[in-house]
Amino acid sequence: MLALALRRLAGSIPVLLAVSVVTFTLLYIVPGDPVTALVGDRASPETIANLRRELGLDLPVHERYLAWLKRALSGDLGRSWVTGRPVARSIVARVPVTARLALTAFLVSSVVGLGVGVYSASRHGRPADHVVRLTLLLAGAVPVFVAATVAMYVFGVRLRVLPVSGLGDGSLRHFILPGLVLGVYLSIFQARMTRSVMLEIIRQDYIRTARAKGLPERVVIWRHAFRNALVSVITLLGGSLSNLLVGSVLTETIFNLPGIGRFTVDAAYARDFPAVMGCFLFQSVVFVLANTLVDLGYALADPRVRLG
Amino acid sequence: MGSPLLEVLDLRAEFRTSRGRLPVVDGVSFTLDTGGGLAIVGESGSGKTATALSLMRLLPDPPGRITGGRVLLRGRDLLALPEEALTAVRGRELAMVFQEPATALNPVMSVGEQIAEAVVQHRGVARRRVRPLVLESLDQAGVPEPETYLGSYPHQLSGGLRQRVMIAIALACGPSVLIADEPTTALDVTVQDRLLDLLAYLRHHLGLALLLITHDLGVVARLVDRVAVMYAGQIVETAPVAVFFRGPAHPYSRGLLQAARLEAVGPESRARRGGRPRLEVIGGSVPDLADLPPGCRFAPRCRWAGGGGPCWREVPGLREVGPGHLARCRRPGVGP
Repeated sequence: MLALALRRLAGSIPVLLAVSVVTFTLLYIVPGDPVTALVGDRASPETIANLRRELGLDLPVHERYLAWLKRALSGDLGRSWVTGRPVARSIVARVPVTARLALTAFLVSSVVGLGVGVYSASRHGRPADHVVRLTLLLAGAVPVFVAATVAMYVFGVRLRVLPVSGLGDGSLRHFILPGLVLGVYLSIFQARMTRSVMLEIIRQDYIRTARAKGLPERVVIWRHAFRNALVSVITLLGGSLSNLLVGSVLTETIFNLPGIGRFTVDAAYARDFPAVMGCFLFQSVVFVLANTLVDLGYALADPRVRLG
Repeated sequence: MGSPLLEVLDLRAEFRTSRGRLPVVDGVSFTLDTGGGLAIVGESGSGKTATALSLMRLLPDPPGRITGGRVLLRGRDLLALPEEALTAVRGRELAMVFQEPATALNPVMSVGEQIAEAVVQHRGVARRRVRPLVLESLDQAGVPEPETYLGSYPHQLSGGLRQRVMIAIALACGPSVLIADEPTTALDVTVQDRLLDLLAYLRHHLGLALLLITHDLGVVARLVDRVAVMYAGQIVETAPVAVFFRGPAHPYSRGLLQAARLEAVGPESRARRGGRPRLEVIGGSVPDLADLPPGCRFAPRCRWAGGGGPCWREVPGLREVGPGHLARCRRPGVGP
C-alpha cells in the first residue's frame, strides 16, 4: 500500500511540471498587459518601462519560467504584484478557511448524497424513488445564490441561530451555513450518481446470490451492493473533495469568506502573475494528492486491484 | 407417505414489458419428496429458470411478477410469507446454485466471508465460532484443502472451484432442497463431469432433494428420478426418468431426446458448440410469448398437429398417459 502511494506520488512530479509550464505559457499568451493593469493607461512610457524591468518582464519567457521554477522549488512563490506580500504566505493564510468550508460541505454531501442515492436505488420504481428523483430535479434547478440567500434569511435573520456571513472569530459556527448550502448542492449530484451506480449493481448475479442466502434486504444493500458501489463512489468523493479544496468561488463570495477560490479569481482579474501561478500550483498539488487518495481507496475497496 | 416436501401448485408468473404481459410461467405444478430429484428440462426461454426463481421469490421485479399459485414447503405457502419470514427459509431450507459462478459470487468479499455470513444469519453462530462450519461446507463441496481458500477472492479461483464455493454456500445451512440452475453449463466438460458426480453424491449422502434446471438431457439420468419438460411457460410432459427415456409421449419431448442422442454420437462437436443441443429434429422456433397460438403451443412446430385441426383450436390439458406419466398432448405417443 505504501509502495503504491509512493509510486503514485513519484509519477505525479512530471504532471506538476507540465501543469506549471502550461499555466506559465497561458499567462504569457493571454491578452491584457499586467503592467497596464497595475499602473493604469495614463502612466508615462518611462514608468511602464521601469516597472517591466523591475518585474522581470523584459526577459524572454523561458528565462522567466526557469527563474520562477528555481524559486518555487525552494518554497518561494514570489511576491504579489498587487499587494507586495509573499504569495506563499497569502495562500497558507487562506487554506484553513477553504479547508474548513470544504470539509463541512464534504461531510454533508457524502452523508446526504450517498444515503439518499442508496435509499432511492433500493426503492427502485416505487413511490419513494419517484419522490426522491423529483426532489433532486427541483433542488438542482434552484440557483445556489437563491438557496444561500434563503438559508441566510431563515437561519441568520429570522431564527438568529447562525451568523449570516463573514469569518467572525473563525469558529466553526461560521462555516455551518455555507457548508450546508454547498454540501446540499453537491449531494444532489452525488445522490444521482450513487443511485445509478447502485441500480447497475443491484442487477448483478451476486446480489441475487446474497438474497438467495436469506440475508435481510438491508444487509444485501449495504454489505453486498454498496461495497461494490464503493469503487465508483470513491472516484466521485475524490473528485468532490479536490474540487472543494481548491475553493468554491460562488459560496466564498456569497458568504464573504476569504478562501482560496476568491483569491484565485482576484489574482486572475488583476493579472497578478505570481499569485496566479501560486494558486495553480496549489490546486495541482491538491488534485495530485486527492488522486493518490482515490487510488489507495480503490485498492482498499477492491481485492482485484489490491491482489491483481 | 405423508405430504411431499415441496409442492408447487399452478404457479404463474409474468414479465411486464412494453409488448404486454408475457406469461413466462403458466400454471406449473410439481412435487418433490424428501431426498427426491426432479429435472426441469427445456430450451432457453421455456420458463424453467423463471420457475426456479419464482420458488425462491427471486424473480427480478420489475419486470417479473408472480401472479398466482402456491409453493408449499412442508405445507407452508412461501408465496404468502411476509418478507422477514421468507429470509428465514431462503438459504436455510431452500438453497440455490446458479449458472454463472463467475458472476454469482461477490467479487469484493472473500470466500470465507461469503459462506460465513449465511451461517451467521441462519444458525445464530457467533462470528468467531463459524470457521469450522465454513470449512466443513467447503469440504462437503469437494474443495481440496479448504483452509487455503478461506481468504481467497473469487477472481483468484478457477471456474470449477468457484462453482464448488457456490455449492458450499448453498450447503452451509443444511438445506432440505437444493435448486441447481444449469450448474455446469458455464464450465469445461471435464469439470462438468466432476461437479455432476458431486451433486449426485450430495443427493444420496445428505438426503438433499434436488431440483435441477437444465437444457441437457444427458445429465438428467445421472442426477434425478423424474423429468418435467417445459415449453413456452408450461410443463408439457412429466414422467419417471426410466419411462421418459424409454418412450416420451409428447412430440416435443421426442424431438429433444432425438436431438440429445444425435449429440451423444458426436461428443466433440458438442464441446465445440458449448454443450448446447441444437434441435435440428424440431423445425421452427419457440413461440413468441406475446403472441401465443390459440391452441396447443407446440402446434406450429408439430408434424402431427394437422392443418387447422383441434390441436390448433383447443389448449390441451396435462393428461395421464401411463402410471405417473402426464403429457399435454391430444395425440400422445404418435409418430416415430
